[in-house]
Amino acid sequence: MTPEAQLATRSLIVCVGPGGVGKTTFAAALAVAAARSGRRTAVITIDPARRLADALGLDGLDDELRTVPGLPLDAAMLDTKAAYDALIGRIAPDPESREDILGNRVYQSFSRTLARSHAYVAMERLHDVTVHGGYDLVVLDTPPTRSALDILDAPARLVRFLDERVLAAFVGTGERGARAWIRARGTDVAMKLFGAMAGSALMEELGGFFTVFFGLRRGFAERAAVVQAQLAAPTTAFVLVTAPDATHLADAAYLRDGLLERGTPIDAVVFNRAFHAGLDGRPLAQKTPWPDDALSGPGDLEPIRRAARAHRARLVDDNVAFDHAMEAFEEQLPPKTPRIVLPVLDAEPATLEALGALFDQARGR
Amino acid sequence: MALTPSHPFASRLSFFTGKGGVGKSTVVAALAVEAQRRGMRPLVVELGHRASMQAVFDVPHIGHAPVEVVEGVHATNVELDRALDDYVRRNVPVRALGDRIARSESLHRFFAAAPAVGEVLTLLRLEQLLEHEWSPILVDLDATGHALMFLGLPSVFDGLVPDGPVRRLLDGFSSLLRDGERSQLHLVTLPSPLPVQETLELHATLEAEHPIRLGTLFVNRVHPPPLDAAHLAQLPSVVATEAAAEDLALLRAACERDVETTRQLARLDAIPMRQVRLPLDPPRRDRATLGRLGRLAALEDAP
Repeated sequence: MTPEAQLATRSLIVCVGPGGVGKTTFAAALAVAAARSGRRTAVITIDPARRLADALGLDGLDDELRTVPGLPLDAAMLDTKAAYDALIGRIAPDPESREDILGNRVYQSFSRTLARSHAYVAMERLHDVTVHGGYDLVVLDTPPTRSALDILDAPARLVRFLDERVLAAFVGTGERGARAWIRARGTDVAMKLFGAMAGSALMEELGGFFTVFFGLRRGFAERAAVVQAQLAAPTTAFVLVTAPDATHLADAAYLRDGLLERGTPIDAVVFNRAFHAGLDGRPLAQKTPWPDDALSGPGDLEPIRRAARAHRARLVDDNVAFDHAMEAFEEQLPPKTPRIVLPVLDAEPATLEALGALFDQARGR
Repeated sequence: MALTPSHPFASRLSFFTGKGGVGKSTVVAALAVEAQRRGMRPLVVELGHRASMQAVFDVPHIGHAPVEVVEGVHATNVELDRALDDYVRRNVPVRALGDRIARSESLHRFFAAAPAVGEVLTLLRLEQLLEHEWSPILVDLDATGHALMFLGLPSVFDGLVPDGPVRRLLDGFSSLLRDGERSQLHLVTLPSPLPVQETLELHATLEAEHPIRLGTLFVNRVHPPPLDAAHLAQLPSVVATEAAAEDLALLRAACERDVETTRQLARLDAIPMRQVRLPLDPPRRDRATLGRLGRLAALEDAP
């Protein structure tokens, strides 16, 4: 069984990796492959790339799941702001609380701009899709930064965020405003002094923000626990996607170590753009040089001969360097971690066919 | 020799941003190596949750205190907990009280959880670093969305923080950003469709919403064409035997890709920023490469 077929038997695949390595394309190709094998699949991307929507035959990708024509495959793009607002709408007990938080300036300022809030939203969305979606497989793309690990930390951090001691410092237990502050004791002296430094207007807004979240914490904590359990379940696979060049490998190594430190097994590593292929689709290697008369045509052919030889030599050099880099990277992975090695393509897959054919071009097929 | 105002060494503080994976950290590191070669005292700053400079410079750990990563080049990582401690201790005159606050678990928990106050702490740390003799200070910001948020901090807090030390800090940051002599923002990108698109959009947003001076636009992975333009027209008429067929096909494909790269570079030319094109070579990143790249990146007349 190929590594991607193995992956497709899981029920949740989380793709992590640095930006600019083709992670979203890989996630989509994996989802297409699973859907083709008959599994009811959802792919949630974070990349608003128009091209991917086109490749999937969709008008566009947004927060709503849309069905890809001809396949048991739904796709959506995570829109932090829309998802966050929807989340508040769903869990607020009444319209008044909802308006309270949507109108809160701290919420407005931070919820949509903060890199971290993406993790909360991704987590909620994941909960929604995996619990209510009825899918056999969900493929989750993650943000193209090191903050991808936030997806793993989000449930834990969320629970900390909702820690009653912190909240109580802001809103008191049940009573609001100044009285709660005055009642505060012990470590809350720190919060009071911080309040004096930060200014009362900010503290009031923060207080309002936390008051609303205080009321919502039960729902949050429950869902966070479900997602946390799901991420740790054996039916979940983590795939590390990278390209084998120095820039991306450095970021990928950080993710690799972060995952392993958290006790999260890496179920496959994908090296994208990891070899230059020859006409037969296999990695280019050294070859017997061809004689000068192998090229014919009008004019002085020497510049073209030189360019063709130099170009091949460069590609072969790259392949050697890629191999070394991949080996070094894999030394820090558990032995026998499945790997998928994909070629440098002239263009990203632009059709459903091309997405589906991506794995046929993997090395060793 | 006076530097062009948009040169990364022309101001004390330089921010860098760009889409993930375009080689931003490598450019920052290379410039730091070059600044040192010119006898300056460069400091590379990266934000707390990242660790790419460790990999770039191949050192085991970069923490709160600036550490020498290669001869004469220092780097620091803005660790939020430490920045918070520093801030509290400096702003609370009574030492015992400051210590107590800094040790407060509630406060640390609050900052670990609360949305984004970490960015303010990053500012505090920058303010502190500016008090030392580092120059230039090269800040490797996160990907574009986060960078915009960071640069927009003063307006995020408008009206929320009318006075007090945080207000003073934000006002200080605001005037620092507005002062092109002291700070500028450089962009890093690649000559491929998505990064170019994002860079065009980022530039438009910056022009419209952010008063910071825009410095240099670095374009990575710009290589010499695989075949001189003079011989391109000749290429379609060349015929190869079986032995050379593959190499000829590869050369033709490379020339086609090069046409696409040229098209993307032309799109970037629409951005009215000083532009530096770099042959950042994907597989390799050793000290010698950084040095070479740094010299290119810091050339007065961009190649």
